[in-house]
Amino acid sequence: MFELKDVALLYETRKQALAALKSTTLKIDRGEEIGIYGPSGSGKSSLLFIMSTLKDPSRGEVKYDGKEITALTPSAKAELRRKEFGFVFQEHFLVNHLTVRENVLLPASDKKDARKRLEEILGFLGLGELQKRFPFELSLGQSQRVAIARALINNPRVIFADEPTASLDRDNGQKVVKLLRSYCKKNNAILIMVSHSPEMIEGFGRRFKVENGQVSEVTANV
Amino acid sequence: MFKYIWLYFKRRPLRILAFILVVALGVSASMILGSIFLSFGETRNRISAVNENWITIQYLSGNGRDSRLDEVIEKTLSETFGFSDAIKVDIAYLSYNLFGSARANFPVYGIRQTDIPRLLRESEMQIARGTVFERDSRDIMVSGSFLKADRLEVGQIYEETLEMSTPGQYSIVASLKGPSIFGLGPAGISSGGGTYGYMIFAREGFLMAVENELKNALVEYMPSITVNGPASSIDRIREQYAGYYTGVFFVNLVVALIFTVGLTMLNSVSLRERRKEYGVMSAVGYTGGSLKVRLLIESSIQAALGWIAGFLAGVWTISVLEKRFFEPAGLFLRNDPVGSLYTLIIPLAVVLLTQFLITGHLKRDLINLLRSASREKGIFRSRFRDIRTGWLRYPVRTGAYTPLFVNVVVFVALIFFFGSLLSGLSDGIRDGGIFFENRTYVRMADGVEFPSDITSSPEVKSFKAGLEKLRIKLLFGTSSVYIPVLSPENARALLLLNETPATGTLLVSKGLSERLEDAASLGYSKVEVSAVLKGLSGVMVASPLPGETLLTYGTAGEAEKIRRSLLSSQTEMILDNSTFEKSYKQETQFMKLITEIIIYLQFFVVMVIGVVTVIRTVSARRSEISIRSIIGLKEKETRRMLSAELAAVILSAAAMGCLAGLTVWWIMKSIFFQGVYTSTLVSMPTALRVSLMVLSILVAGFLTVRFFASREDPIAIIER
Repeated sequence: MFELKDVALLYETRKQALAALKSTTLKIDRGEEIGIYGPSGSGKSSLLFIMSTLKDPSRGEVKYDGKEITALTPSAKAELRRKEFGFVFQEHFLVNHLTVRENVLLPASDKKDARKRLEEILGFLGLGELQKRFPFELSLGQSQRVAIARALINNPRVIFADEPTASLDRDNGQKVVKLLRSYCKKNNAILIMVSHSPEMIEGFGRRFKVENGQVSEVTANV
Repeated sequence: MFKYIWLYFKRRPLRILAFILVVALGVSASMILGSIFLSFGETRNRISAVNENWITIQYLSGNGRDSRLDEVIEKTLSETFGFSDAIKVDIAYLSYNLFGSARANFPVYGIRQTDIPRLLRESEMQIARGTVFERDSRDIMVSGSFLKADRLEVGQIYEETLEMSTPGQYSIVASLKGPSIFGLGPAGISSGGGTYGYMIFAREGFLMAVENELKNALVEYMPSITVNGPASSIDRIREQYAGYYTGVFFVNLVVALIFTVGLTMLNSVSLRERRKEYGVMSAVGYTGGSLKVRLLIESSIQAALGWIAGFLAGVWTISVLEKRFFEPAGLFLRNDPVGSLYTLIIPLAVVLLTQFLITGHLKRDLINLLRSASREKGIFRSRFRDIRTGWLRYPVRTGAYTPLFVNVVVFVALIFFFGSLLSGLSDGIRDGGIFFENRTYVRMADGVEFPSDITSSPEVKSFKAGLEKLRIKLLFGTSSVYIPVLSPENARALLLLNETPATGTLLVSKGLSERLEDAASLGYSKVEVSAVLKGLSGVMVASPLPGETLLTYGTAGEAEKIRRSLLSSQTEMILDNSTFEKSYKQETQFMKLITEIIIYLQFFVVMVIGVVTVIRTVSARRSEISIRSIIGLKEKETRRMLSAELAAVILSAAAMGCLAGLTVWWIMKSIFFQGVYTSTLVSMPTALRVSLMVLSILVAGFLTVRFFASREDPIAIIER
């Protein structure tokens, strides 16, 4: 489903070119759980941003469903993100003046269909009672669950999660990972999760370590 | 405390500078506008001041000096006052160009050469340029200001054809320099129709007493003979120019209001942003009182710097304006630094209102204060949880658009109010002449036949008609409505009535029927409202006097032909459309200028505030724009939503402003301006100005939205 060929991200400075991501080639199939870990600044988020079209690589090819996606127009990229991808970040990035319900429905492409799914998703995430609250009236854990609900509202085929547990306590962090994994398992969707901690991606089907921009698949237990 | 204030100033230099500059702009704008406003009154005062140097006893005559009236005046002067050295004068009136078509008449005294030194001495004038005029010529010497105002040079021929002035042609041979504005010519310059009389001087301090005595002595000959002197001059200045001072008061009030609202809004946004700072300072032990004192000092320093800068800029600009623009145009500008102290109202009001605002913020408890800093709190947020319309959510749930909303409401209301004020000032003058749109009233000089070629045209119908004058109330002063007096048959024919009206009937338009307080002198027995009569017009049904004619014609083009023909005959008075057009321009141009300056000043301020608010609002939502982009909303969708929000805020504010402006005008009219005539509720120029202003802010806002929405990188929020 995802195919990366010789993908690299370089930053040109006056003196030298820095490689945030060195030449990477990998392939991900439907339903796979991908865990990416590595120290801060290693390039793991860059990999996630490139795959999710949020950043263009300096070179290489990124194919999704057999189609090259780096050359798409900004509008087509937005369309792809909205229909196919779901995002969860370390910070919840909810819109402050919108209620929980409105935040979740924000990316919905088919509002009528999304409204039907809303109750189910909010119930699944235990947010049924909080629909009319504003983000500042929620705890961090609740906010992160709202962000997950927003990521799931369009029934995405890929979920990108960038350090989704970093601002949560251990219990809440594990709950979030469990929720994401259970959705992907149920819907045969890809989960690509970035974490600085290998613990959080334990049990993922495939794991990648990123160090100094070099991506390497880890086969043994970390 | 001062160290902290200094630190704030150092960290926010642009914000502080912007505040100081806006205060300075307000103060200097107020000074400059006040000065410009008074410049017309000042120049007219100098023309009127001529009468403070002497007394003139004068009468109108169509055929040179009237020996009977001369005898009466000379006898009164010598027998009652023992004056034997009165100077015989004939007076022509030249028009002094004040601004565009706004003009004031000033006298040119035709006297003997030997009396010139005395006249100049009494008026503290001197000959500045040129030579003394020839005897029995049309040579005149005039005020240097007049030359500047009309862009004439000594030696140029000046031709005067206004009805109020003596028709004729003059050669300007010299210019006069001094505190008054008048002209001198050789005896006999008004050999045709004009004003004749005597000029007398008295010892300093006695002029007013002599003037009053003379008025009493000649009372039985008035109004054929009039007496003008310092007392009349003071009365006239008081009557005619009181409006200017009221105008200055209004101008300054409005400028102060505009800038106080704008600056308070700026401070309100700044305070909102600094809530966290106040919260933290409260948390570490500063009392609300000490924070308020700190802010008071902070805003006082900024306001004081702004006022000083504005005051200096105002004084400098006025002197530059005077030298570059006003003096060359023959106008005098009043530069009164002491009188400009009223501009202190702007910084003082802003400082006080800022204290009021901070008190509101500090009333919250500490936790609320700290929390409120991290959210975009809206006053109605809790009431609008269920709102369905997406583009209404941000405006109603947050306070971000409040400054823009309040400013648009206030400025649209002010434009509406000022538009109505201008209508109140000018509609009465304009609609008072509506009857003469296709009609000309003519009074021939005694013994002169009406030119027969005029009535030979089949387009023109003539009626014997008298003329009565009715005073109607304007906003500042009064205006005249001329009522033709027609026989019952002619009234019926002219107005195409079904029945012949009875003698003594006053036929009036609806507008005039509501303003007949001063109409008792017309001696009517009953009043009838006629649908044929428009604006402020009326016809008195009575027997007209001989020698006066009312001409009616189908097309306005006839008016010019008739006027030309009448001017070549000895006509004592002509009233037609151009008379009223000219009068309308003269009476309203200045007020229009001032109103437009105020409106465009508002326009400028609201545009700046509008664009700044939009930039701040949109840039404060860059995170939201990024989030929308990450989750797949297209740039077009975000742009559309932001634009719709902006349109909703601006249009609803404009609608509210219109309503507020009309309400305020209605209240003011009911309480202060009762009986003032306005033709329509909202004039077309007012509606156009409001539309233009709203459109400009919308376009500026849309462009800002486009700029920000297209430049926000989705990753920016994560990297930030």
